[in-house]
Amino acid sequence: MAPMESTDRELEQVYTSILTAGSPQELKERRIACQSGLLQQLNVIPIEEWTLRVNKMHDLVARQAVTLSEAQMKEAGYGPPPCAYSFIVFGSAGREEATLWSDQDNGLIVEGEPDGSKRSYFRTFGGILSDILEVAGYEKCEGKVMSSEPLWNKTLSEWQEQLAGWRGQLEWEPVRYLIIASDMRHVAGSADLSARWQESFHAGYAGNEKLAAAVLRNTVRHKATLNLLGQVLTERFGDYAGGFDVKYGVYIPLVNFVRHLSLAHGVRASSTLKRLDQLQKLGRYEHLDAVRQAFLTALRMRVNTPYEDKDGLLSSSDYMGEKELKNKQLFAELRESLLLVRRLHRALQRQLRSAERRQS
Amino acid sequence: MRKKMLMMFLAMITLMIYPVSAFAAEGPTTPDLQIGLNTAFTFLAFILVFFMQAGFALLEAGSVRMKNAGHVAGKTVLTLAIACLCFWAVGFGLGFGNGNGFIGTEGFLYGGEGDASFFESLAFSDVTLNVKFLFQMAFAAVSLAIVSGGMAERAKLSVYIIFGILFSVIIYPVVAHWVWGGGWLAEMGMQDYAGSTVVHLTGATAAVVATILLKPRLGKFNKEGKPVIIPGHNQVLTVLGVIILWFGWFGFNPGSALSPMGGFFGHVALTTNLAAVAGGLAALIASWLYFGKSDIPAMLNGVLAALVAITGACAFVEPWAAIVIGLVAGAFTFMTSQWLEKAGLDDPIYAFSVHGIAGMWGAVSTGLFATPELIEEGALVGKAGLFYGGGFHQLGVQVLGVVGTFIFVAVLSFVILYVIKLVNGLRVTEEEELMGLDISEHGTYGYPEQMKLISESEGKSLNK
Repeated sequence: MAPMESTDRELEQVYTSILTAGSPQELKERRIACQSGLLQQLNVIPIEEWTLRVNKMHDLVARQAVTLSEAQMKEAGYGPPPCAYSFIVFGSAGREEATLWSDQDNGLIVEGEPDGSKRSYFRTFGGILSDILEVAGYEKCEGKVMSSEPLWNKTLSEWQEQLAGWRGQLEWEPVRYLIIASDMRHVAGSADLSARWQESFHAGYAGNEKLAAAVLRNTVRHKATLNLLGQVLTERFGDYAGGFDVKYGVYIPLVNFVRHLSLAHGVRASSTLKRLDQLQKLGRYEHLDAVRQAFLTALRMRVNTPYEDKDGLLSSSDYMGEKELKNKQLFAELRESLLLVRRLHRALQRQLRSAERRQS
Repeated sequence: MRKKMLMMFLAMITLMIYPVSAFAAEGPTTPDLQIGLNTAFTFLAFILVFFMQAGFALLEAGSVRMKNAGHVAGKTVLTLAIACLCFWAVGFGLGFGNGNGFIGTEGFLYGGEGDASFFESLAFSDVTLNVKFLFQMAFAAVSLAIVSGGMAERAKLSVYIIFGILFSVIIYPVVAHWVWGGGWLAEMGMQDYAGSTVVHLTGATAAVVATILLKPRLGKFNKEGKPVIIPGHNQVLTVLGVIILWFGWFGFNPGSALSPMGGFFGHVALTTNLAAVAGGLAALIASWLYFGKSDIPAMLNGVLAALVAITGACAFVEPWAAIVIGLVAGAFTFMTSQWLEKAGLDDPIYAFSVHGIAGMWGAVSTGLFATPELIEEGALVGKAGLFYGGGFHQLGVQVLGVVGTFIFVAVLSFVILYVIKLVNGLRVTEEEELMGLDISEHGTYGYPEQMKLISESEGKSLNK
C-alpha cells in the first residue's frame, strides 16, 4: 500500500499546483502532470473513486480557468465582473463522469436582469474562458454547449425564460437541450445562483407528464448491441470495425435510464452514481444494484478504450478495440451489462407507449 | 344514302371473308403450329435469360465501390461477348453435340438448322435448333457472369478475359454435356431441370477458386484478421438487379420446358416464385437474429440463393416443398456467407454462398422432394426422392453429381488460374486497387464527377 499512498500524496500536491497556475499554458502543463498521476492509478483503485479524482482535477482546472479569465478581462480593461455569476458544467462533466479526453460542455449564469454592461462583459468573458479551457486541453464542443455561446451564457432571468421555452415546445431539439441542462453541476462562482437555477429547472419539470414522455422519447434511441442469440455485436464497417461502441452501446443508455428515473422523482444529484444512491433510498425499484454494477462496468470500459497521447493531451474514440474485447472477464461483464440494458430499454419503451396512450 | 350503306356493308363482308378463305385453302398443320409455338416460347425464354445480364450488371455494380462500378458493369457485356462467341465456336458442340459420356465431339462452329443431326441430345424437342442454340448460349453466359462476381474489385481485366474464354470452352460445356448433353450423369438420371448444378454450381466453383487465389481485397480484414464490411456504393442498383434477375428467372426455369404445351411451365413458374419469396424472408429473419438489425443485402442474397436452389428442383417438387427449399436456401446461405467471411474468404458479391452452396442444396433437394407424379408429368428425368418412397437412390445420384461437378470445376479452374498467376499475375497492383479498376483498367471512371470530388477531398485530408 505504501507506494499508492505516496502517489496519493503526490496527487494532492499536483491538485494544489493547478490552482497556482499563472497562465493558460501553465494550466495545461499542470493538468498534464496531474493526468499522468491519475493514469498510474487507473485500474488500480476502484473505478468510481478514480472517476471522482479525475473530475476533481477537471473542476480545479475549470476553477483556475475562471480565475485566469477574470484576470485577463481586467488586463483588457473590462475591470472586475459587474455582478455575481456562476460557472456551470453539463454533459459528462456535469455528471462527474468526464474522462481524461472529454471536451468542454459548460455555461454561465449571470446574476439579475440583463443589461448592456453585463452583456458586454460576459460575452467576452465566456469567449476567453472557453479559449483558455481549449489551451488547457478541452476541445471545443461540437454541439456548441459552451460559455462562449449566447444560448448557454445568460442571466438567471433569461435562463428561466429559456428553460420555460424549452419545456413549452415538446420537439426534439428543445427537449435535447433540456436533457443536457438536466445534468448541470455548479463548479465555480456563486453557488447560490446555480442553486436557484436548479430550483427553477426542477420546479418546471415536476408533474409535467407530457414533458417526461418527450424526454423519454428522446432517449429511447436504440443501438442493437446483442443479437437474438445473445452474442455481442461489434461494428461491421468503418474505422472502428470489429470494435464495440461503448458510449452508445452501454454507457449512454444507462445514463439515460437513471436520469429518467431521477427526473421523475425530483432527484437533484447530477452524477449517475449519486442519482442511483438517492433512488435506492426511495426503495421503489428492485434492480438498481444490477444497474449500478452495469454502470460501473460501462465506466470502466469507457476509460479503457485505446487512447492516443499527443504532447501530453489524450484523445480516444468511444470504441473498445477487438484486442480489449478478447479479455474474457471484461467481455462477460459487458455481456451481462448489455442484457440488462436490453431489459431496461424494453421497459422504457413500454413506459413510453403507455404514456403516449394516456396522452392521446 | 341507303345504297351507299349497303355497298359499304358488302365491302366489309368481303374483307372479312378473305382471310378465312385463304386460311381454309392452305393453313399450317397442327404440328407446324406446335413447332412455331414451342419455338416462340423458347425464344421468349431466351430473351428473359439474356436480360438477366442486365440484372447481373446492376447487382454487381451496386455491390462494389464507386471507383470500380464502371469496370464491373462493363464486364457483364464482355461476359456476353466471350460466352456467346466461345459457345458458338466450340461450347455448343462440346456440350450438346453427339459424343461420349464426357464430352461432345460433333457440331463445332455451329452452322444453323442444317447441323441438327449433330445434336441428338436436343432432339426430344421440336424447337428449331437456332433457338435452342440461343437459349443454351444465354445459360452459358449466366454461368460466366457468376465467375465475374468472385473476381470483382481486384482482378486484372486480362485475367478475366483469358479465364472467361477457357471457362466457356472447356469447363461449362463439359458439365453441361454430363448432365444435359447425354453424358454420364444424364445416363444415371441426375435431375437438374434448369441448372442448379450445371449453371450455378459450375460458375460459383470457378468463382470461389478465383476468390481464393486472388486473396481478399485491401481493407477487407482488419489488423486482427476480422472481416470488415466494404459496403457497395448503391443499394438501390443492387435491389433493381435482383428484381431483374428474378424476372429473368421466369425464362430460366419455366422456359426450360422448351414448350408451353400442356402448361407444365406454369407449375415451374409457381415453384420458382414461391421459393424466391421464402428465401428472401428467411435470409432477412436470419440476419435480424444474427446482426440485431435486418440486413437488406442479406435479404437480396436470400432471394437469389432460393432461386438458385429451386432452379434444379422447380419441375420435380410440389409447391410446399419449393417453400421449404427456398427457406433453407435463404437462411443457410446467409449463415455460410458469414462463416466463409470469418474463415478469411473475401467474396465481394457472395457468389459462392449464393450460387455455390445454394446450387448444391438445390441439387440435393430433388433427391429428397422429387415426386413420381411430376417426373411423369413434365420433369421426365430420374426417380422419386427420399420423401416420396424413392429411397436413397436419387439422393445418391444427386450427391454424386454435385461432388463430381465440384471437383472437376475446382481442379480445372485452379490449374488454369494458377498458370495465369505464374505467367501473368492475377491481381492489379496495390496502387491500382486503391485508385480503382475504372481508372486503372480503362482510364475513365464510371462516375467521373463524384470520383473527382472524392479524390479532391482525399487529397485535402492527406495534406492536412
